[in-house]
Amino acid sequence: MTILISFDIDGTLEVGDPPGVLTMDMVRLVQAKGFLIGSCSDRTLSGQRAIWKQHDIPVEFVASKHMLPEIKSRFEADAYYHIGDREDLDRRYALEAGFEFLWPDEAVAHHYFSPDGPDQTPD
Amino acid sequence: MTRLWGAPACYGTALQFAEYCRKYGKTHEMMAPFMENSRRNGLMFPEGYWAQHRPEELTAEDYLAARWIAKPANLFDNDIPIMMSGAFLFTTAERAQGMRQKPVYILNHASSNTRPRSLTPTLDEVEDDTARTARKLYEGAGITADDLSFENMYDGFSEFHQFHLEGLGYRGIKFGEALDFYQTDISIEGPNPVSPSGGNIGSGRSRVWLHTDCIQQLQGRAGDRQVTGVKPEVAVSGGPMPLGGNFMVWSASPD
Repeated sequence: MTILISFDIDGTLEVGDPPGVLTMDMVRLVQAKGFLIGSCSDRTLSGQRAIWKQHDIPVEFVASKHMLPEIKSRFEADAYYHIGDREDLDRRYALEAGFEFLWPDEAVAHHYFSPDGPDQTPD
Repeated sequence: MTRLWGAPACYGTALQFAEYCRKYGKTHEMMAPFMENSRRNGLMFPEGYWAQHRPEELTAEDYLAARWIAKPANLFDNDIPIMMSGAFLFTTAERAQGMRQKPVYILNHASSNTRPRSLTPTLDEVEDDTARTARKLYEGAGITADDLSFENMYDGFSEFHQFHLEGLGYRGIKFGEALDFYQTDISIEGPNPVSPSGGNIGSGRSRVWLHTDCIQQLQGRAGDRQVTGVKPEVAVSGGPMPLGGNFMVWSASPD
């Protein structure tokens, strides 16, 4: 079972502007569980890469908001999630691309982000 | 409801730019060197948003990967909204002689208040008006385009900066030639500096960078942004819109 998670940055991750509730340790946790992870943000691609490098987290992809369909075609997974804080820029783009969508506060409560939760069991 | 506020603010400029590309056979990708140059210069403006808060370069890949806001205007063709202000001290040339800073002289100012025939000015109207503004600026200042050391015309939205440049005839460019000009050396180190302030693309939305940079360049106080490929003697700045703006000609000397 392979699950891909796309993270928005600003308002979603703790390193965003504004900071979000998802910590980089949570990101490391799901990566350690075997999830395919990356970011999808209005930040520049080079800026996204710099953030991940700064936190020593190797990601599978960085993308702009409208590139989620391309991400889906590039990576074969059993489920695709995008986590973000905006109705217009995250939820709408995610659903249009065929991704499941989680708000940041939903994500932190999800069993994926629990150290004791199962690894890759889709809802 | 996903379109509560109507069309994006840049739609009019995007329409003009689309017509520009069609008329002259140019592409949105040709904007990339201007965008990279503007961010580079903006990162050397210590008061700017990007320099202060997110000192990130903008590469051609970054620019071209951004989502459309109003095609062919993408996210980075729109200047980021910020909170800032600026203040300038104006006095007579005689009194300025006693000031601590080297004075900069205003050779002329001009306004464009042309009313378009419809809601969005056409490309033809834009070109007519930028040429008219340039003529007024040059005639009043007693200079020609050849006298310009550099230019700091408005760029928020990025896609009308070249309209201003072409109207001015900066470095001899004519209508339809600015995007080709962007493919040459437009850096502060070169002989043809474009937007050494970095403008709104380089520092965030204000009406200040362009004028401040002209003043600082002519005073030799622009720091890392200081133009080195030309001697800073006469500069032009202003905007915002090609139709609807206020413009200045600055000089290092009163003559």
